Amino acid sequence: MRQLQLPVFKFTEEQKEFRKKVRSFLQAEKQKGTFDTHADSWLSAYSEEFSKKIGAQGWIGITFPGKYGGQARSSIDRYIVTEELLAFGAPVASHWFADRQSGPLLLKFGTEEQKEFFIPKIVKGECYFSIGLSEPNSGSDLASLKTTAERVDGGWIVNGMKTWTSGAHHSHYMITLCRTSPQDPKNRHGGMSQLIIDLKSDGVTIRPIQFLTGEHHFNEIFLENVFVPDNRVVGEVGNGWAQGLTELAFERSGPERILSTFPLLEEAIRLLKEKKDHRGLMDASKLVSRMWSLRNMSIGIAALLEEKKDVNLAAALVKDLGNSFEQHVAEVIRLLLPAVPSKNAEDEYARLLAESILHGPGFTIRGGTTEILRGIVGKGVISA
Amino acid sequence: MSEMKSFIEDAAGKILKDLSTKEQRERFEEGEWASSLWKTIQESGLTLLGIEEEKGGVGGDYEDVFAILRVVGKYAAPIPLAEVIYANQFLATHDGEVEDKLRVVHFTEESSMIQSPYKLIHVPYGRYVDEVVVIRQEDQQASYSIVDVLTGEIEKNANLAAEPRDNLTFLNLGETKKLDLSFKEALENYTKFLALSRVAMMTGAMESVLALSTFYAKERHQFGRPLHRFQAIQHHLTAMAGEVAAAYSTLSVASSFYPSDLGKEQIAMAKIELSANANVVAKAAHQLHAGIGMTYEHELHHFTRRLWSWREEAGNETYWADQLASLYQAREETIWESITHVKGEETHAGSTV
Ligand SMILES: Cc1cc2nc3c(=O)[nH]c(=O)nc-3n(C[C@H](O)[C@H](O)[C@H](O)COP(=O)(O)OP(=O)(O)OC[C@H]3O[C@@H](n4cnc5c(N)ncnc54)[C@H](O)[C@@H]3O)c2cc1C
Repeated sequence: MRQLQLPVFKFTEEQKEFRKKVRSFLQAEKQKGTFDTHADSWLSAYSEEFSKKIGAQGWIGITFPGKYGGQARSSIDRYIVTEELLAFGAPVASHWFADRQSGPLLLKFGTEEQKEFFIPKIVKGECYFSIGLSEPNSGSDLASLKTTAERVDGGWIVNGMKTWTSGAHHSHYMITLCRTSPQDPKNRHGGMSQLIIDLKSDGVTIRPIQFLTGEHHFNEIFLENVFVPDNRVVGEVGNGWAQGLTELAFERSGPERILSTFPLLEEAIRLLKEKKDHRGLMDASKLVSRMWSLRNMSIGIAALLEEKKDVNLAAALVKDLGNSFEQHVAEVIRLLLPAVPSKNAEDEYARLLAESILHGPGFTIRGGTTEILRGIVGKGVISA
Repeated sequence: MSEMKSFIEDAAGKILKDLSTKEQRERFEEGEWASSLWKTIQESGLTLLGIEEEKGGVGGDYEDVFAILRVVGKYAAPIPLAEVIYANQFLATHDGEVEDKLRVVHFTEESSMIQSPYKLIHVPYGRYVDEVVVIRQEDQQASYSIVDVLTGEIEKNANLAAEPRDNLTFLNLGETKKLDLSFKEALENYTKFLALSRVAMMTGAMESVLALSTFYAKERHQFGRPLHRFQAIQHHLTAMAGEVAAAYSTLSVASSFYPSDLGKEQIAMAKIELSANANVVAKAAHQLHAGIGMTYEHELHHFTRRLWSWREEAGNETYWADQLASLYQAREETIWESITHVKGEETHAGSTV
């Protein structure tokens, strides 16, 4: 099956030099104490200061056109930056969605005014976005969502509720998927639109939902008669579902689906080497082999995406395999190096282990559950 | 993919599709050598792939070789193509020229000081080959001799897939020639080649297992619908598809680095991966096929038994993990530096504070 045959991509010398540059920067920042390494840093480690520093390097929205402050570099360069940030477990959650999703969405479907208004700020690491999809009664079955936008003079009035919204308490805006025409059982994916809601608008209430670690990570968002002006609709009214799907392959096959617990693996191998634990290193080497293999797939997909090829099936596979791997790392490592895992441990290993265990269950839920992905792939394999 | 590669891949695919049929494999298991299949493969030049024309070969590189071996696995061809290609390459390199014969190499740890009889254990296709290139330790170096199988005794043995792994006994190994390699190096070279060959063949076998499974999931109905409409069955298909995609990518990357210095680590990781996931695919496929998959009649086992055999050959996960563990211990590099092939710059503690 051709769709399962991903190409080999080898980084050029120039790209390797670029990786070195990013790595040196992060090494220096880590040594200065700008940040601590965390597992799952892309969804849970926030630092506006750090996001601005990354922005100042030109590494947020690196693929965006120069006209709006981007570097117009390839998505392979973006891949390199993302990988290095994740391998270091750097605090990138603040700007994550703006860089990965919202920026590209606006560049593809947004108006000139929207691009000029948002993109330069995103690129500087000053403007953060949240993703407003899930609702209390619409999770996997997202097309059943109830939040509605009603037409009024000059814009829309939004009513409804969003939930599990990561980082909304840090974000400035939320791309909100809502219903702009009544639900149509014959066209379940029609009638929805993407609206940019300013989270400081009247009628928006953000309430924290405590994460199982006790930390404030996601939120529920109440939308009561929130006015959204016409110029804050993304793309076409009624085309929200299709627009939201366009960046899905990037989202599903990126390094963040493989590397969430990599800092734990690297630290564990360092410790095993220190102890000269040959057996332990053997077990760890199997995890490294898996990571290598998944990374090769992910890079192969990145190369196809750069050529604008359709890779949805392979991308769903990488997310499924990658997320299982990320969870598996903690389960293998905990047996190799017994410790008392704790979020507040002084010891970096014990802390990374705690983060990997506690955040683990979310890996196979966020961005589409394992069950949903496997359904997509299973059907894709049959019809191919 | 090079044009040459896809061309010979297609050509080999055509031959094997026609000649490595279920019936052919069954006759093979009953004890009949696949002579017409082998003859066609030889005539097409595939046994001399990767050998320069001046040395009697047909050209091509290692990526071509492993691409063909994937196709061999895909059709579960009952032929020792990987082993013969290696033996031919070996003679072309050390003798300077090669004449195409059904031959395999065999390493024996016993030094040449040991007196006869010489027992060669698990020689692939031993009963069918014309000659064996026996490689032994001679002082610090390796030496080899070419023995005619007709001069020895054959004790038949086979792996899980009924592929011959015979024990041969010879009273005399004949004239020996010295190699410019240590025995260890020579053995390591062969193990690496064979490991990547098995990776290629397992990739092909996995592809066929997936293809048989999707076919059956559409064909077989229960509870008034085809199996593929059940979510649990979709999950089995996904598990297989994931490993097929991973295997293909693993094979492509590892063979693109072969036989460079980076190659050994990549082969180790590739063989660990394929060996570990062979049964993910085999198990899901058998579960999906249920009763029919447990019969001799259905051809699923032609592929799953090969997966279970090949995952052990040329080093299983334990063997290669042992190698990797020693490698990690011996070097300063972090895992991330080695995976990305980029070494971070030395930053001196305190210099940036
Ligand atoms: C850490 C984290 C961060 C998140 N951040 C955001 C965010 O920023 N913005 C946002 O909008 N959402 C976010 N989410 C929400 C996430 O997208 C949903 O949790 C997810 O889509 C699943 O929805 P649900 O939780 O309602 O589960 P449900 O859909 O109710 O599913 C419950 C169980 O049933 C299974 N199931 C459901 N339907 C089927 C089916 N058809 N076939 C088989 N099994 C099925 C599911 O796989 C799951 O196992 C986040 C979630 C997590 C864990």
